[in-house]
Amino acid sequence: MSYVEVKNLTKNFDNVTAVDNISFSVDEKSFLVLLGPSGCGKTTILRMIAGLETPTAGEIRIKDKIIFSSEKGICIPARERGLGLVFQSYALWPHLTVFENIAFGLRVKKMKESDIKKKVQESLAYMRLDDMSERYPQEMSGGQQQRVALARMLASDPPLFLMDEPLSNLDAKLRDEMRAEIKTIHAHLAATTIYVTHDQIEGLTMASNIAVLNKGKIEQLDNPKQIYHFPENLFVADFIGTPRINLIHGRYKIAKDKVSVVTESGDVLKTSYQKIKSAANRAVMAIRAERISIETNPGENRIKTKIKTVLPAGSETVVHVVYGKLELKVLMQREQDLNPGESVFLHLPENDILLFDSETEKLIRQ
Amino acid sequence: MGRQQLIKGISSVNLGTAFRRNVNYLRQPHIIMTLFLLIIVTMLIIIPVITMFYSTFIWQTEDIRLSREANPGSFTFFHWKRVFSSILTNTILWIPLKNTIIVGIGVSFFALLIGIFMAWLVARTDIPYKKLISAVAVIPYMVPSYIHALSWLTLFKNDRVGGVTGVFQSLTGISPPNWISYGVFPIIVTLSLHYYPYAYLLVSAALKSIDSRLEESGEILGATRGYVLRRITLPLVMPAIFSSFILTFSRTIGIFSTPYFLGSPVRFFTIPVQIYSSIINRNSATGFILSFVLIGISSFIIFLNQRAVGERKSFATIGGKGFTITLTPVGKSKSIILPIVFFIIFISVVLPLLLLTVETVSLYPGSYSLQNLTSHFWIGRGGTSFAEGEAGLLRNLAILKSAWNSVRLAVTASILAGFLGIFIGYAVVKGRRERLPKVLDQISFLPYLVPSIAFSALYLALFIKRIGPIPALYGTFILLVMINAAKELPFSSRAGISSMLQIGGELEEAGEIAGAGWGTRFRKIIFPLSVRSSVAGFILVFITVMRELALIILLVTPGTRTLTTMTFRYQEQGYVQFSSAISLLLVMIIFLGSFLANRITKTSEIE
Repeated sequence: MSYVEVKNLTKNFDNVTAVDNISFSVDEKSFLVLLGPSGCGKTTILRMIAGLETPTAGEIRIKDKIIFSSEKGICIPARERGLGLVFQSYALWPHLTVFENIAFGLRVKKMKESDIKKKVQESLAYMRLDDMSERYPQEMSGGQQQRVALARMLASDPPLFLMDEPLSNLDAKLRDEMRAEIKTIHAHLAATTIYVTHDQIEGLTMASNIAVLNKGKIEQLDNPKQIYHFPENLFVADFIGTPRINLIHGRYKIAKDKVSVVTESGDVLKTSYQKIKSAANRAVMAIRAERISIETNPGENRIKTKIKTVLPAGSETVVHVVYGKLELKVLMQREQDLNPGESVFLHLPENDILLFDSETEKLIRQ
Repeated sequence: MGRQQLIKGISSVNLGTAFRRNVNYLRQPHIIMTLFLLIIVTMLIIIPVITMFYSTFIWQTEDIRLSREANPGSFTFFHWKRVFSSILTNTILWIPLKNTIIVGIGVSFFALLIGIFMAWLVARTDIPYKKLISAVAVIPYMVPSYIHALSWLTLFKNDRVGGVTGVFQSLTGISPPNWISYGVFPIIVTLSLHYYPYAYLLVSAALKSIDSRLEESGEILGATRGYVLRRITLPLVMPAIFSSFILTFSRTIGIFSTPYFLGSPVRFFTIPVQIYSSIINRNSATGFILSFVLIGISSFIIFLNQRAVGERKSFATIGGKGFTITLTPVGKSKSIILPIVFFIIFISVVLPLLLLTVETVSLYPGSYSLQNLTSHFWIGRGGTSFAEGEAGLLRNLAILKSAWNSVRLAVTASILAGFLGIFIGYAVVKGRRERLPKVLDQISFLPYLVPSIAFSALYLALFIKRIGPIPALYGTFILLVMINAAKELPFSSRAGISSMLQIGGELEEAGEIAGAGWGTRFRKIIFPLSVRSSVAGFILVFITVMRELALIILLVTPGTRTLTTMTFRYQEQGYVQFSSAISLLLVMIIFLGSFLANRITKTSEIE
């Protein structure tokens, strides 16, 4: 059952279309990540749902209540929507203590003072900030401020959590910790969450569904597994995944119900596709770096390459190789005894090759 | 295809929704605020300008003695012709204009020279006593500009003008030539000493914002010190230097007190002085027209500044972490440079105050011997035959009343200007993309273009009569508050805008999300935060209003006299001891105010 329903949402700023006729729905208790590069419109969508921006057109529905409709002339102001929002900069009020920051929304609701005290202390304890209630935000570390921002949102028990890149101001280690913490909170409270980020790792690890956005449009809306293994177009395939996906252009030929692709260097690679229709016989092959293995001997579906750079990182090693005019990446486990300048063969398993139409850039389904 | 349909759909929306959208726009809190502020600001600024302009085209009653064709109340070009194309034009317009520009350029040049010198020393070298120097270097600007003029007279007054002669003549018996005692030379010297802190502040801020590594990169690449200075440092500081010159010029041409005291004895008049005397002599229309000339020059100069510097207000270093400033060692030249610095500080700060103090304890002005010392002018009882019965300052009711007037004027005006600044800041920043707030922003900036004496004339023109339900405000305390608040509007609205930008929109949005209405958000979030960051600004306005003379000289009456106007009166009548004592009192209050400012800004830091 969908908890949030967005239909034909559009936002224009002067002459720029930031959000272009977007529609999607969010199921109750799910965790939707709006993922995309800077300027793709993801924050704008979140702010429109929160009520901080007015859409140019469209309809937004939360739990069957229309909170915005351009056609019907409905626009419920932000302060009446009862949602929760964590800003990227936390937006903690510097002239109020942590206690007062969290209590602010409760005071607005005219709660009883004793209830407010209880609720604030609960939120502080939940976010492990027990002794911090009399501190001021400037006296705390970035991670602590972030938890205060979360505590402030949780204290008012909103039915919908909105988060705008809450982890981008934290250093790498803290980010990993907080990712796990936010996911735990979500599982524990089972609140519907919409989360904006440009970090695809955050998207993959935290989401139940990801909407990949680009230039104001949704490129693909799916669960993380589908997005990772079956990206609908080259943009999604390239945006998701570390290291970036390997793309090789070539021409295909069909023989005995088997599609194989000939690269510009002349190698023939078999795929698991049985039929294909693409303009001028051209296609783009895509294969993830962790699916490729490095071999010493030639063979079927093996291409000859030269090692350019080896990047060992303890638990894994990324190897960059040169293949014709291309640079391909291979992800291997642990440490490897490889050196720049060596010639090696890359094995590209036929089941792991995806084909994309070189004109439309869309995934060709089998 | 979807988008085309959407656009078609929107444009065919019925009138009801479109009308509703416009009304909703106007109902937004920051737009309502903008409209209110626009009304206030129009009343304070635009209407006076229009009224004054209009009145220059109307025959006044006072013109009857000037021309037989005078027909009070009807339209005429007489006043304009009198200023621009009559036999009086040279005396009224061209000569004062020439004098004004000479003074302007001279002062800007020398003030800049001294200012750059000091700024360089403090920001970029390792001279000792830096804290002392930077604290003291700003003082000449804090005191009223006529303090330097009065102390010059104390030193160099000769017997051209009646009354006692200055220290120099008393001690040496030689009468200084007129060109030293009065006229363009002392005006330029005293004003340069008054204004160099302004250039000092601007240039040292620019110097401090340049990471030395910019220069070090040059050195590593093989450039000599001189080359680096010429090709890297100087270009980076150029915008600040150019701005300082232009801003000092625009302020100098509007100064009234110094040219009045030092120029009148030799009939060296500048435009502000001409404006004052025209109005005092019942040629108000002439004074108004000259005010417009001054406004025109001032606006042109500032326009030049905007064009030249534009958006690049400063070349502050962008990017990268960390910021170092390595200091150039002064080495052996210390023994020459330090004395020069202290000499400058001595003649611009210590000497004037010293001279004033000496004056205040001199029984008979001009006689500098120990037997001549007296405390009468501070604590003497009045009613005696001495000093025409005037009591010493601390017992003098009229003087104490004027001190009270000064303080309450400064406090009220700075609170009013501060509040207006906060509201304007909110309206302009919130409505950044909309037209009405932009108009508000521009109108609030207008007073900056109007020199104080011209502003005084504007208000005189408008409020001398009653307007509808508002009685004639001339002579009231309210009028003084209004004009000071209006004059400070550019400063306080800029301060309000920058504090609002620093606070950021998200703090208010977080309040919105938490369910707070506009009133609650403004009261609990925006206002408390703005006030905290405006305290320093409030005190700066306080100090500025305390030392205002030209702005109110045409508007005060016996009941509303301030310390500055009292100084003016006493000096005019030759009571130098009183004028010096009042000036000292004023300086003390200003020092106290800025001391408080420093303490408060240190204790209320919000990051």
